[in-house]
Amino acid sequence: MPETLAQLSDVHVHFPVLDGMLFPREVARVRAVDGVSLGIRKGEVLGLVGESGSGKSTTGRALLRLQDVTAGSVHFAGQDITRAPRRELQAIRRRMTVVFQDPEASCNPRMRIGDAVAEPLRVHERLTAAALDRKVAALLDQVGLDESYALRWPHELSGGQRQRVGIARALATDPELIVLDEPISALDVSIQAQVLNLLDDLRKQRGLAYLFIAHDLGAVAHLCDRVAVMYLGRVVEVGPVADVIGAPHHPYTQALLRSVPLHDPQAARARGLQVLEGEIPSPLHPPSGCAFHPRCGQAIASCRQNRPALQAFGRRQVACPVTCPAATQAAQLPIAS
Amino acid sequence: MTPALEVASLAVTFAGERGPVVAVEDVSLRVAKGRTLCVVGESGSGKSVSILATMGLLDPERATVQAAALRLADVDLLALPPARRRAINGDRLAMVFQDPMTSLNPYLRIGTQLTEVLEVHRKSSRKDAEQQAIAMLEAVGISAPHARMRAYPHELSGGMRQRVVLAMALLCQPDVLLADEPTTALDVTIQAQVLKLIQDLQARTEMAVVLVTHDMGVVAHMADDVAVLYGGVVVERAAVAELFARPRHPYTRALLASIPAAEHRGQRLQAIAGTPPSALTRPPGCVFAPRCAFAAAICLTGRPPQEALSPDQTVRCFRHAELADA
Repeated sequence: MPETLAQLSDVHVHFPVLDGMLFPREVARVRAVDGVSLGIRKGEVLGLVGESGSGKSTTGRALLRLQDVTAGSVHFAGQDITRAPRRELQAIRRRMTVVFQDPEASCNPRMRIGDAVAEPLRVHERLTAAALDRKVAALLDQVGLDESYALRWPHELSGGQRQRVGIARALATDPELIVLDEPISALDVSIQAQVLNLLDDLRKQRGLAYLFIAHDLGAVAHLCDRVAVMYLGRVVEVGPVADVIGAPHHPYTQALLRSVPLHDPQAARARGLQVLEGEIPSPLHPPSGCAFHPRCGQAIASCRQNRPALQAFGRRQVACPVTCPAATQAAQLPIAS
Repeated sequence: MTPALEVASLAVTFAGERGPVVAVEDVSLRVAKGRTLCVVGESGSGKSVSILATMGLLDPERATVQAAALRLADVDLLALPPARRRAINGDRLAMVFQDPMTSLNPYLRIGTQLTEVLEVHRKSSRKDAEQQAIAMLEAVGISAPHARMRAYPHELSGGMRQRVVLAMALLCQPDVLLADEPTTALDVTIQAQVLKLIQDLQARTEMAVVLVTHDMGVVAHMADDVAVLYGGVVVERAAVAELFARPRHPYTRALLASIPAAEHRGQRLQAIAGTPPSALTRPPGCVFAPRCAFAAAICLTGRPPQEALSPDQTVRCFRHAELADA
């Protein structure tokens, strides 16, 4: 098994809610990420899915250290970067880069495309002007844009082309891991497939690892090796993508997948729209026990009190003692004997 | 039977700095009572402009709207003076936008905004209007509707706001609901809730629904008929089962083939090369020709005519017959 490249261990990201004019004090706490442990192996694509407010983007930001963690640790390539100072982070950020959802966010409107792609190289590498131009042209070529784009301005490009520029920038320093935060959500349908293909090609050519944060489960099924499902700041199920999407075990994963429309009118009519009632609760007032229990059709009395931990269940981990009771038994065995 | 809404050969031109910009070239839409028409299209396809033109919401100083017919059941919307047309909007013809905050005033309580609709269109008393508004909030699945009447929009989640907007659109029991990407900004779980709601309300009231979406899954669940827009024209129109089983236009085929799914894992997605044209960059021939895998010389010369394959199906492609056999 390839070695672990990045590891989040019991990561918490809490945001204090302050009140008081002169001496603000903490009156509440938003637990955006509440004990997440995830590993990404070399060359692996890990999908991270969940609804708005599940904490998936904050988890990505914590990994990138764009967000300080409240508790837990973040490791990259064996190095603890949880509290790494700026200087150390700069070296890490060559090896771990990011592509955001909004392609406009990756392009300064007053910077030509070539300069935008060259910027990380200027920061991290000392190249001659000619070498820099060659490298920029090569990067643009890799993402399917010819070198004439280097002289263009962001507003001259379509959304899909700008997202390609964002990817070229993320590739500039030859990273080992790219955090992709909803990279195709803002794109037209006919363009989404182009960008997914590009991401797939780049990964194969360069042996890249991705953390692919998305809410499009079709795209996740297509691109990812493993997938983690988040609900209210915690991972409820993680495992090989074919297992989790093919036969979800956690009741929330099941409900989430049932909500996805089918692409076949006959099947769609036969099944109808499957509705998961209610909404994701506020992380300010998370429910007791399992956070999903108020919306769960399979909840039993103990779900209201005990917060289930992730337990190994075959090739995956699931945080549900009801649908994956074997996991509980396995966990309890040492105590019982 | 007279359709609940009929739009025939709609064209919308905007006055641009460098001359007129044709946003919509030739769009015909038709939906019967109790049925749902899904309008599929990407950015620049003219779907939103078509809907706005149908509602009469485009600024006449900037936009020229032409149509062979624009009819709400037996009412000729083109012949109506602006004041009468406004009276129909929100009453018999209602609209829901992608972003609920487009339709909600952030400074007014939900209750005020809901009752206003009835006071304006139905001349209801405040008390009657309030009762109806509360009943409608309940119908769209909002818990504690009495309390929600006093809430401001920012106090509600995105899904709740979209329900409020739906409640507002449905208060006068419209004959036709125009919904422009009503669930695009929502999570899949909330999307399923809102779509189910539209289905349930439609089953009760027999309203006709025009649903603009880019999600073929939403189309599969919701549509009776589908109109596929590309570059300001309807390239294909068909009943939903026919469209998915035997798409006739190369764009529809390509769109259906490009959807990622677990079944195609490990294979390359069949992406459509290039980008959709904007109103400024439309090619002289078939609007899809520059991206079409089947484009021939004839496709670059002029716009293909709209051909009727059956009363329910039209296609706009020079080569559709030979491609169907292939």
